Amino acid sequence: MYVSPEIMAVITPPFADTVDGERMGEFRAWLEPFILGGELSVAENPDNKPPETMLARVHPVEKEFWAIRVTDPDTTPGVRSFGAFSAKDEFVALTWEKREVIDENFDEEVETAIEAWTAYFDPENPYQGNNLNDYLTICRAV
Amino acid sequence: MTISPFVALFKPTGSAKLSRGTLGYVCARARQRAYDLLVSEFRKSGLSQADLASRLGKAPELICRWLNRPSNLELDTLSATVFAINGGVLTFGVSHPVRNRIEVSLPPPDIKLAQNSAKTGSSYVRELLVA
Repeated sequence: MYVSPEIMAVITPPFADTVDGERMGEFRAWLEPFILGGELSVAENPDNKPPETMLARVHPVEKEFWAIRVTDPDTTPGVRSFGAFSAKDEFVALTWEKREVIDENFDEEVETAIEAWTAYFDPENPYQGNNLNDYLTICRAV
Repeated sequence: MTISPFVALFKPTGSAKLSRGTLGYVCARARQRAYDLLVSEFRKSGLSQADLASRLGKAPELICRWLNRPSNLELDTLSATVFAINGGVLTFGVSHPVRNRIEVSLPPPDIKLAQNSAKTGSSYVRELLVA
């Protein structure tokens, strides 16, 4: 997994003695399955996914962007991190935001991530697979 | 490009209160590992969610939630579920974060990657490593 400096800055210990610190600690832990080849529940349909889905494709589907859905601590709305695959089992997390800040502006957050990808990798496009097994060796389709 | 050592968690010393964030990370990490174990054992078993629910006397919807994301399962629940899947019993161990990992940082976006490729440019991208 690769992460942007913005993400690295918030997921690097020490984590603060605050609710936000706890949220960033959770965020870090949720990224670790990507590195360790751990189990992930993944939804390919942005419009039909269980609320507990860990990784979900986002609109516009053809852009090949995904949201990591950090849904803990369950006393908070969680965190979303956006990015795309650069190869099988190789996810590039580019942006992040608290879910309550994103609110209704989800599409704009995705657009920000797309712009970040372009800034880093243009003219290369995100990796595209035909099915979930093309993206992740280990995953649980939901 | 910068290279820095993996920033490990600090070993607790004295009686100083540990931060909410540190404990949050440690607990979330353990939940992730437990989830990984649960789902991987379930996958290998070939069991259906309905059968597992029946074996445990639980609602299928509950089993589905357990398998869809890490959750704070009680130790008894995790133990019973693993046994119900394949007769396995939990074993325990402790690991300590190591410090000799390397991370490579991403340049600012205005620095174009030499090969214009996410893959070939990967050495420029900060790689997240886990102790």
